[in-house]
Amino acid sequence: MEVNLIINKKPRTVHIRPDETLIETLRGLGLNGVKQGCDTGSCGVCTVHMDGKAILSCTQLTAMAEGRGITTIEGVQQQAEQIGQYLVAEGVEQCGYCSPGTVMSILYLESCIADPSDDDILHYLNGNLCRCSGYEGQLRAIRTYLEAKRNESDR
Amino acid sequence: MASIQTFIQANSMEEVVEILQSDRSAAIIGGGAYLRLGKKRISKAINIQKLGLNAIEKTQEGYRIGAMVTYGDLERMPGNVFDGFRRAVRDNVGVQLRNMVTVGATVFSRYGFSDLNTMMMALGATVEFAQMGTMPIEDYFSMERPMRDFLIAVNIPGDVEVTAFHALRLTTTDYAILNVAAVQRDGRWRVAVGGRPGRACLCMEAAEQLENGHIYQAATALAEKLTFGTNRLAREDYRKCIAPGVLRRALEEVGVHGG
Amino acid sequence: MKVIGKAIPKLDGLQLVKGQPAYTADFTPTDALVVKVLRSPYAFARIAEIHTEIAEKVPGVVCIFTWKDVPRVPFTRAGQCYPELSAYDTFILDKYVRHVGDHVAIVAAETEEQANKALRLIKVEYDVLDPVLNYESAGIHRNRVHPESDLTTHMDVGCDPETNTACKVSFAVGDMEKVKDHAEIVFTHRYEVQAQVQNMLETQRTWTRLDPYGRLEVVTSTQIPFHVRRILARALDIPAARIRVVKPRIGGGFGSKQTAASEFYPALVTLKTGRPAQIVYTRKEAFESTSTRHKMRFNVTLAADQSGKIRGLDMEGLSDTGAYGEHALTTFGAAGKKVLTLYNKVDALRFDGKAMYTNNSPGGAFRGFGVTQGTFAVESAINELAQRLNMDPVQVRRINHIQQGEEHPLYNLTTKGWGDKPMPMKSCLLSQCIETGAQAFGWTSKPRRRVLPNGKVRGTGMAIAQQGSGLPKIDMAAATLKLEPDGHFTLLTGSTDIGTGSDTVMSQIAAEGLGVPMDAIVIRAADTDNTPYDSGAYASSTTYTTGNAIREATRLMVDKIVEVGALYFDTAVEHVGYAEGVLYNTKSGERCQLQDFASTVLYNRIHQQLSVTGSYVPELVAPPYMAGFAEVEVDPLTGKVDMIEFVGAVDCGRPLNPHLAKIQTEGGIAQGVGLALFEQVTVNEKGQMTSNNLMQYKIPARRDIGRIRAIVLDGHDESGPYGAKSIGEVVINTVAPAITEAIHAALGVRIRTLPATPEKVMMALGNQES
Repeated sequence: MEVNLIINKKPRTVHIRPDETLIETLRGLGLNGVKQGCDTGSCGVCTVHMDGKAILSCTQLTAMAEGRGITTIEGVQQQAEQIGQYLVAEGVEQCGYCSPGTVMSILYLESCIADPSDDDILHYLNGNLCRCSGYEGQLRAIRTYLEAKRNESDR
Repeated sequence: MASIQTFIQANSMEEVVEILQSDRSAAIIGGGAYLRLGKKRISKAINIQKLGLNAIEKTQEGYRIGAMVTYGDLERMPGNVFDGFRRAVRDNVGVQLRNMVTVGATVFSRYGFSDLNTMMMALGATVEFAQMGTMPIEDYFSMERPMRDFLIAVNIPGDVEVTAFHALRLTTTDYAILNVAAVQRDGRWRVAVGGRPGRACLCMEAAEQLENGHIYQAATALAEKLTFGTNRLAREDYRKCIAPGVLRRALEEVGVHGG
Repeated sequence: MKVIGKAIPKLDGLQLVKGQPAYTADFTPTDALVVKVLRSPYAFARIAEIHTEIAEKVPGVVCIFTWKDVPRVPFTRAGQCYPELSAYDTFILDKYVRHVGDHVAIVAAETEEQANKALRLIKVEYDVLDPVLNYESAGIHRNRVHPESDLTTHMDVGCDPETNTACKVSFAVGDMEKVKDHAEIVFTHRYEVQAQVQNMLETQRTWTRLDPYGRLEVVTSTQIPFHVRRILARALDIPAARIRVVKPRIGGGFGSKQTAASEFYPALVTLKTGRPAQIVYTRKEAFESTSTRHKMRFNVTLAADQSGKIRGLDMEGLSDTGAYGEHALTTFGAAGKKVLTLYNKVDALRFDGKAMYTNNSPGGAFRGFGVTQGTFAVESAINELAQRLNMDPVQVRRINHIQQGEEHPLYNLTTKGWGDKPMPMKSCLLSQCIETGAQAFGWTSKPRRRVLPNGKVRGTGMAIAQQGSGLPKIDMAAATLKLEPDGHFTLLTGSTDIGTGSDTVMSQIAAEGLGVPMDAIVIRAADTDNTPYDSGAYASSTTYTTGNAIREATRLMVDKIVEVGALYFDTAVEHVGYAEGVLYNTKSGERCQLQDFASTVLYNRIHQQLSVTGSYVPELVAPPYMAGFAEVEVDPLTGKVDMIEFVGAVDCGRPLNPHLAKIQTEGGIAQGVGLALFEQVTVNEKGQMTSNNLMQYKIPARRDIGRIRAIVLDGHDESGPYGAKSIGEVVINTVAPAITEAIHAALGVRIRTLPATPEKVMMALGNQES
């Protein structure tokens, strides 16, 4: 079947199987920044935005995304670079496999909450598993990133 | 992964009902969270996104929650009654999955492990079907099998005093080993227990004890009056053992303490 | 030091965060066949009949292989140096299936759908056999997991398939029976550590193709590219010269990729069809069809004096190696020799036991590699001693643990090639780990037990641990440095960065040794055609072993620069000096920048490629140490344990990159919390894993771990590169025994079988009350 999607702001018409998941479609289009981690919607590695909301692309049926706007890590390279500086400064990207999904969740957190607390960070990112970092350093990095952004906007 | 032969974009409720009746292997797609896990063969997958069922409307009684409303939508609603939902779904995997999982699919499927269903039960929700009309959630949950009907919406009261919820789970993203919801409305209580592991059920005795202000007796009533079972997450005797404690923790979290 | 000891960001970090192509499946050839493996639904069965005719007719299916189509060569998937200590008990495909998820047939098709359809249409008749599931009784089970006659071992490891015994380990120091007879306190308890699954977020995956020379190119998510080349050559019965193994970025390993797994199937398909082929393991395959931490149990007998002095430690143990003996001997041995060596004041030590074949999913390598299991047993026993003596657990350690400069006879017994000469632990900062950790945690100021107003109870606990740094006289590494015409260096290393940032640390060592900035080092790693040999990323060896090889290469390169510098300046070698990227003619006072020198010697005169290779194998043990302190909050109404805080103080020698060392520690602690409280492989009576996905098998999320504080001490080991020892594994070992001690402090219940689930804690509490 055919589906119309707006991927990273570009309208695309794609041929899909009716039971195709969004991650298959996106990786099929060469958007390899979207990773697959589990097969059960449990790890958050495949997080993308659909109409601005964070969702799991491994669980989303592409057919159900007709007409929707999809944003992947490829569509937010500038923000990823900015957040990345802070993650990398702490060394908490480690193997990096969960990082694109984590960045998508951080951006979603920012879009939902103006001035996120540590609790907000943990709550919004609890669905993004990381097996390398132990999370503590990621919290430090994200906190510092948000502070820096706040200072920037205060100026 | 379930296999899907064709997708149908539904344009009316009638159309959905007609497809469901004419084709036993047709299915409505909600959030799709469990599609990957099953091996179901779906002949016609029905997309009901265009039927306007993704809204939470204020009604005379309270709220009408459309079948396609997600957990994320519930979490973001202000108000006391939604505090209960926030407590109930807060630890359901992650914010991403909660943006996908729908109220309709959860209630329709009557998942025993569901935290939302336990809260719905305690709230005294009513379930609205396209054909059969509206029925109390406990009636639907006590039916032998799910209806071959189209669940359109779930109605909940708006004026509640207390919405308590606590689930015991191994990790913050795991299924509840046991969950308890207690709702007070007009001074009357409803206490529901889920993850027993069977479908959520009410405990009248516990509610009566709460009405008399007897928290410990209410807690004990859960263990004495309800039946529990064993599954992958825990054994029957353990569930029975902790049920009173889970209720006590639920009430404590909302500031209900008592003798 | 210019770059050593600096928190240099991972060189590849930003690209990874931005999702740029980096991992195996980001580079799949467009026309690659999709490879799928038919997996056994039975724990133990003989394939009576297998029919592929119908499946082969599925459009798009290119080939299907069963045991009849593959070479019958026994091998081991374990990534170890040759000759391996693991038995050759595995075949690419076999008539027998020995665990649920074992391979039955291989399918290659144009699309995944077609491959899956073909899998469903392969008809298999199984003679289902009564599976061996319990390792305690495996020795007397009527079935043999390995009935085949061609199972072989390289040396006598005590392998006895008749009794389902994969190997035996036994060693002793002193007279244990005598010590037990005379000690004031003697007690025995049984401790068990569950099978834990590595669960790196990128599952195993491999693609293969023939290169223009007709050789097999294997791009794979592995920790052991050189071992994979050797294992594949044997299993596929082709010369190693026909195989190239390349490791791109990989999404975590933790030991799971120290065992070959996904490589065999696409390799076979490409060899037979000439076409590129790829397999991506599902999470279920990663659970069932690779390897887990070995489940082990130990009966620990501890003999001590009332003063708290430990007289004897006796470990009688059993390991469940599952269907295949991958890493069976080495993990089990490590559980003794890298644990008992913590305590050197004893009169006797003994370790005895065996690893059993069962029809469970195979055991394998997982961070800690047996030491984690052994540490849980011994450290728990020592905490029980403290309880019996009503003594502070910290104090019991102070009395007994090995100190700087001290020796342990067990090191002489277990270190290959060392002999009888003394091996003092020159850089041991275990005391400082304990004292610094205790201070940071507030061990003496915090009550061991505190009841909160809501009835929940907090408790504290601690444990100590060590690990190794590489494997003396076994695992080696080599590194090549090449001077390029513009004065930068190419560093070629076979080491395998599995996400830890080791490529960055290796570059730091090279930059420091050559006196050049970081951007003058270009690292190329883990490609069997293009980089020198390295045993792989395991046994906590990269920083120590590969780091030493690179350090050696930098020395050789500086010598080479000076040697060629003499030609350049037309003077004698003794008049040439090199420092910080500048060559000096000390006689004439001439100076030359490295880039001018490099350009001249390659383009204009002399015409010599400066290239050197350094090699290194450890000779002595250089253990890293750690002390871990846990605070938990337990709900007596439910048995639920919440982590409040874990403080870990580590001695890894000198931390070459403090941030990366710290993150290793924090990450190891989080995995330890998973082991202590949440994670476990559960198996039903048919031998099916009932927790074979991340929905049912819970690894910690960020709200499950409380606060983690890692303290990395500034140590120095003279045998390590710039004073470094290892850090990757030691960091997981103290967590579980410290947590169960904290639970005991809170509620008085001792959890001796991991994990400490709410149900287990509650039931223990019930037993205690009744």
